[in-house]
Amino acid sequence: MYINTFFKPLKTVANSLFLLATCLLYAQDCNLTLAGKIVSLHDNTPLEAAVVQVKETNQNVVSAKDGTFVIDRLCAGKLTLVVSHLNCEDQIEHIDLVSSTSISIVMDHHVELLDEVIINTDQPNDVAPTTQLIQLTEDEKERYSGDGLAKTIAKFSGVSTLSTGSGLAKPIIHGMFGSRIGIVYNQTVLENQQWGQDHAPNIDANAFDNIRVVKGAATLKYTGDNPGGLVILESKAPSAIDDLFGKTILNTSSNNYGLSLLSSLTRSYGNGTYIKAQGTYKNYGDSRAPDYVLSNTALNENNLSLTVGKNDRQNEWKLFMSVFNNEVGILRSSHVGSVRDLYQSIILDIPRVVAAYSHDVNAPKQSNHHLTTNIQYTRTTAANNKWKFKYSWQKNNRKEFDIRRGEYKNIASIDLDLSTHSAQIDRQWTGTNISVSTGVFAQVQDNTSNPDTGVKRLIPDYIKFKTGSYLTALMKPDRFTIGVGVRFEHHNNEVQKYYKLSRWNDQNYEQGLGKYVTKELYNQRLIRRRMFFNTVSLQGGVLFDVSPSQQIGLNYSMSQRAPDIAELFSDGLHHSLATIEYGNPFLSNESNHKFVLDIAKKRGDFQFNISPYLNLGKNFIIIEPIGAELTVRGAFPVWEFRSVDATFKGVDIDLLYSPTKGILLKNNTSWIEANETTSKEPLISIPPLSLQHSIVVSPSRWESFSFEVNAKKVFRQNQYPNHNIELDIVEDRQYVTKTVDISTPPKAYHLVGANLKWGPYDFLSSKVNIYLSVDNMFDYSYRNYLNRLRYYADEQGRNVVLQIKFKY
Amino acid sequence: MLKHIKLQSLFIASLLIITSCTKDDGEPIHEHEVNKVVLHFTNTADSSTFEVEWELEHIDNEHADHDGDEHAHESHIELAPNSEYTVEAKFYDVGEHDESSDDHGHDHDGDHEEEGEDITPEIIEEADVHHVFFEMVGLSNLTIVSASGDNKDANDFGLNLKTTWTTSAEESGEVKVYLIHEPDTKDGDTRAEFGGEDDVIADFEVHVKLED
Repeated sequence: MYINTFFKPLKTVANSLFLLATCLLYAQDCNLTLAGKIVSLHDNTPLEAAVVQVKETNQNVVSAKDGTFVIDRLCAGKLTLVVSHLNCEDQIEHIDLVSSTSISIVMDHHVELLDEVIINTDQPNDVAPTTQLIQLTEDEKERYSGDGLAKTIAKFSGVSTLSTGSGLAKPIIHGMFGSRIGIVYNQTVLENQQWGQDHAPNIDANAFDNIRVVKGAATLKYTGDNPGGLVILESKAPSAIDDLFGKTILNTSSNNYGLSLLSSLTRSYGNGTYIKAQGTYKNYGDSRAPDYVLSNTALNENNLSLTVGKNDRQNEWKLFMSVFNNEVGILRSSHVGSVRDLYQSIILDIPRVVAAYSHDVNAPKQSNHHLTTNIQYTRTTAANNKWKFKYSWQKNNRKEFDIRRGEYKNIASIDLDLSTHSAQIDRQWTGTNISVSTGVFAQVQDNTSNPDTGVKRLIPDYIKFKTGSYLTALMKPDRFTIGVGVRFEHHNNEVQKYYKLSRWNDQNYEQGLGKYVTKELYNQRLIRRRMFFNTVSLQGGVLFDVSPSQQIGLNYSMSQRAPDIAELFSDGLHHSLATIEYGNPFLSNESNHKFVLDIAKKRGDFQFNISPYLNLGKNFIIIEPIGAELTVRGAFPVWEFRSVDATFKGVDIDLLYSPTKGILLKNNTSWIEANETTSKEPLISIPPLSLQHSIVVSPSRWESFSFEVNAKKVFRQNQYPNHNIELDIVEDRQYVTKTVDISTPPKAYHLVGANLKWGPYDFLSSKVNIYLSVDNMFDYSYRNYLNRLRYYADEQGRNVVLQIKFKY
Repeated sequence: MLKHIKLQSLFIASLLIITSCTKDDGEPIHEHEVNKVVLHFTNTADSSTFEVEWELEHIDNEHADHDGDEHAHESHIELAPNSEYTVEAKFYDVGEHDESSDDHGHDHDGDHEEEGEDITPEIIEEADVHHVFFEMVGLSNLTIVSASGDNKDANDFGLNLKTTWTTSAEESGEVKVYLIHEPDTKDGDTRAEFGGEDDVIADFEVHVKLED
C-alpha cells in the first residue's frame, strides 16, 4: 500500500537511505564504470526515469531521456542491479564486472499503462486532489484477487466490512456503508447498493487495473450523496503500440477447498485501438470455523468482461461490457424460524445445523446476475478543453431462495429486477494552475418485483428519474491545492406499494398515505405515490505543503442524500437474517457535514499520516431492531428505518517505519465513535477500534523473495445500543420469560497471518510469481460484531492460500 | 481567479424533467402460508367426535388491529377427565378470498365456508422433513402420543398427524401445535430439541373438566 498523494513509492525511500555507503573495503580496482541503456521489450523505445540501483553499493542512478545511465566508481566483482520504473515490476540483472563495460537492459513494460503521450481522463490525483487518496498497488490487488472487493479494501485504515456470513460483504468507510459509499467503475456509479445490508456489491474488481478509495465526500464528480467515501475502479487504456499481453492468476485456498482462476488478455494496436477480455471463475466450498463446518457457505461465481476502445489524443472512446453471475450460500443455521430459534442459537456455542463439508450451494442462498454496458467518448477540442460523453446501462437481477415447502421449494422468495440507464456529459477545462470540470446527467431506473414468488415484495415496484449537474474546480497556487465543488440532484420517484392492512392500521398510514391509495383489496392497500427530492452537495478542500516532506489537508463536505426506496418502503421477512424489515415512508433528505483533517509527514525512514474526522448528520437514516412481531411462524425481530441526528468522530492513523534496509514496519489504527447527537445513544453496527500491524522483510540476499507477518487486533465494541427482546418460551410445561440478547457485541480478537512471496521468475516466455499466505494462522475461534450472522456461528478458521501468477 | 471560473465554466442548471412515465400496477401477491389448523377429536370410548379450529384472523377494517401482530380467533378444546381421544390434525392455507377492490365492508365474521388449500397431503408426501409437535403449557396430566395409524416417515417416526390424547385429573392450560419444517431430529420433548423452522404455531386453550 502506498499513500498516493503524498509520497513517492517506498522503494525510493529505501533506496535513499544508504547513499553514503562505499565500497572502499574491497582491495580491488574500484574505478570501473558501468554504462547502460534501458529499452522497452515491446518496441525498443528508450525508457526514461528508470531507477537503477546497485545492491552491493547502494548506488542509484536514473536513466536519461534516451534511456542511458552511467554508474562509476564500481569495484570489480559480482553486481546485482535492481531496475525499477514507474508501474513496472522491478527487474533484477546480475553482472560480473571485470572491466568498465556497457550493457543493454530490456524492461518488460507491459504493466506501464499510463503513457504520457496519451491524454488520459484521470491522472492519479485527479479524483480527490485535496485528500489522502489510497490506492492498492497492482501487487496487493492481485494478491487479494480471490477475495471480494469489500475484503480487499478492508486492509486500509478506516475501512472495514459489514458482512452476512463469509460470502457477502459490503465495504464500510468511516462507519458508513450501503448508499453512503459510492462504488464507481469506469466512472459510472454501480447501482444495486439500495437493496439492503445483506447484499454485496455485484462487481468483479479483477476486471479493473486500479482500485482506489477516497474517504469522505471529497469529489462531487460522480455522486453527491456518499459522505462515507468512494471506491473507484478503473482501467487505463494501453499504449498505442502493437502488443499482446495478459495474465492468469490461480488461487487455491485450504479453508473452503476453493479455487479461483482469473485471466485477462489485451491486444493493442499502433493506431491506439485495443481490445481486452477478462474472466473470473470462483468455486468455493463450505468455509470452516476452527471447530466445525459452516454449512452451506459455498460460493460460485463467474464473470466476463470485454473492453474495446481507442486510445487517441483527440478522440478517445471505450466500450465496456460485463456480466457478473454468482450464487452464494447463506449459512444454513442462520435460516431460523423465529425469535425462539434465535434465542437458542445465541445461547448455544455451536450452530444448530452442522453438516458434512460440501461444495453445493443450497437454499437459503442468493443468486445475482449483473449485466453492465457502458460507453464513453472523450473529445479534446483544444489542449486545455475536453468534452466527454458517457452512457451506461445496468441490469441487475437478485434472487433469494429460502427453505420452502412443496411447490415453492425451487421458487425464489425475492426476485427483483433493477434496470438503470444513465447518461452524462462532462466538460473539463484546464488553465494555468486551475482546472474546472462541469457536467449534467440524467438517469432512469426501473425496479420490478416478480409477483410469482408468493411472498410479498421486499422492495416495491418503482421508477426513479434523477437529473442533476455538478461543478468542480481545482486551483494550485504556490504550495496550495484548493478544490471546491457543488452538485445538484433532482429525484422523481414513482412508487407503487402494497401494504398489508395489519401494518397499514398499526402505523395509522390512512392519515398520511390514504390519499395515495389506488386499490383496496380485502386485506391489502395499494398506493401509488410520486415523491420528489432535491439535494445540494458542497465540497471544499485545501492541501498545503508545509515543507517538501510535510503536508496538511482539510476537507469539508456538506452532502445531502435522498432516502433510498428501501429505506422508505422495504417490507418483508429476511429469513437469513431472521428479521422483519420495515421502511419508513415519511423519511426526508439526510444531510451530513463532514470534516476530515490530514496531517502527513515523511522523514527519512519514517512516515505517518494522521487523519481525524468529524461527521454531523441531520436526519441520518438508520435501521435498528425495535422489538418483535408475532406471525403464524412465531415471533420475529423487527428492524425499522428511522432518522436521527448523528455525530461520528474518528481517527485513522497510518505509520510506516524502516529501521534498516530490507525491513519495513507498518501499522494502521482505526477508531470511530458514533452517537445519536441528543441522546448520546450509540449507533448500531459501528466498527470497534482496530489495529493492524505488519513487518515486511525483503532480504537483499534473496532479491525476489519477501516475507511478511501481520497481526490484526479488533477490540470489543463497547458502545452499542440495547435492543434485546423479551421472549416467552415453554420450559417444563410452563412459560418462562427469556431475554434474547441480540445487542451485546462479541469479545475482542487477535488474528495473526503471514505471507511469502517469490518472484518474478522467468518461465517459458512468461513471468511467474508465487504467493503463499496464511490467514488466522493459529486457527482462532472468534465472532465479528459486523457480521450479521454472528449469532449463529464463528468466523472462518485458518486459511492457507497458494497463488500462482503468470504474466505474459 | 473567480472571474475565470465564471467565464470558463458552463454551469448548467438541472433539467427538472417531470416525466409522466408510470408503471402498470403490479399484481397483488397472495402469500402462501399455513394459516388454519383443524383438530378433529374422536372419543375412543363412545366414538363421539368434534372439531376445533384455529385460524389466523384475516384483518380487514372491522377487525382493525393496532399492534401489527397477527391474531387468531380464540380456540377452545373441552375434554373430559380420565378419557382418551384420537386426534387428527389438518393444516390449510386459506387464500385471501377476494382480490377485487369492491369488497369494502364485506362481511367476514370468521365463519369461513371455504376450507382453503389442504396442506396435509403435502406434509405426508414430504414426511421426512415434517413433524408435528404438541407442546403443553400448564397441563401436567395430559399425555399426547403418536396413535396407531399415524403417518410415518422413512425412519418409522410418526408425524403426529394422528395422536392419542389421554387425560386424567381436571386442569386447564394450553396446547401449542407446531408444524415443524426440516427438523434436525424428530426425537424430543421440548420444541428447542427439534430444531428446524415452524411453518405454523397454533395455540389452543384446553380445559379438562367434567361436563356440567
